[in-house]
Amino acid sequence: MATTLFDIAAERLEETSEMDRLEARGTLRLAVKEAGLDVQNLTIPQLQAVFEKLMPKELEARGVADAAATCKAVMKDIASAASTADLAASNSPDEIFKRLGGS
Amino acid sequence: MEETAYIISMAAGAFYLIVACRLLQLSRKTGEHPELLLGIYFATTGQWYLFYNAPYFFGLEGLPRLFEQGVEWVYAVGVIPYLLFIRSAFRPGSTWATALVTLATLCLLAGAFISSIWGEFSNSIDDPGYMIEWIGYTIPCFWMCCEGFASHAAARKRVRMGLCDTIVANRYLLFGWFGVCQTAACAADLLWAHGNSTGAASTALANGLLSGTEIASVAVLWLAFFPPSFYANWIARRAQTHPTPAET
Repeated sequence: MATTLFDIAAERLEETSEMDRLEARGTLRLAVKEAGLDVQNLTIPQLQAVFEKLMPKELEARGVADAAATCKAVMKDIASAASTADLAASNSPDEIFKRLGGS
Repeated sequence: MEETAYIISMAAGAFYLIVACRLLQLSRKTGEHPELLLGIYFATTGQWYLFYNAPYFFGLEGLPRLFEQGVEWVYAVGVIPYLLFIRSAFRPGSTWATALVTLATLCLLAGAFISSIWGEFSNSIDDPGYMIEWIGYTIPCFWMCCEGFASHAAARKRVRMGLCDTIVANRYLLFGWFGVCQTAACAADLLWAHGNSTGAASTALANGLLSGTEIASVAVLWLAFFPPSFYANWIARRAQTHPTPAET
């Protein structure tokens, strides 16, 4: 099974926050969904926005100590680990529909 | 009434050809498949609207059967790129989407084939070929409607996160409405076919419905492909009034 950016981020979150696997994946999945994104086709900028704007609150709500630092640590880890994820961005629905309007 | 319907359909066909030119030009520039697929769809649909309606409007009803069959076959085959566009844009790699594309493609080809064997493209509910083809071309219309609205709902959240342009989010909505219009046009087609086979007066109602849906289709596509500045500004102003989820 292919490893997605979501899998990498969830794994790093599990390691950094001391959440268990299910909780880490579930928390991240909820935040990704709240951002209107698809877990299968995440890009680094999208994940960055999720960890900056949504995850600190989600982690705080689950009692993770120093949620902001945890988010920063996860982002630092995954930035280098997922160079292939952005390759699919040119044919993400947003990119396609942006091109269709000539914008 | 019928003449007005022909004029509206031919005007819609001409507009679809303009959209097709724009998309095919774009695909040459970008080298990407989605715009190519959508461009081919609008090109074939545009030719169908023109060549299907023009003979009736200009009183050229004695055209060879081969001409009629050619126009219908180009339309049936031309819907396939639309199915592939929806799949590649919204559901790449999805098994059920591939199955749906295959099913609709089989309906389109089988329907056109059966109508050819049947002897004519009668647009009647008694013609099994017509009914099978109807299923084939209604599937992408309804599918686009569902994907457009679902994508719009998700894109609104991304807009608030700063991850999607407001105009792009709105374009999903417009494509959703295009799907609604085309699905309604398919329903009108069925009504028309019912009138054809039973002699009921439903053809007049179907013509009115078809004309209305074509006008609405052209309007939403115009906003999607050629958004005027007042419209783009209005969409941008509306988005600014919504806070991000992080701020709420």
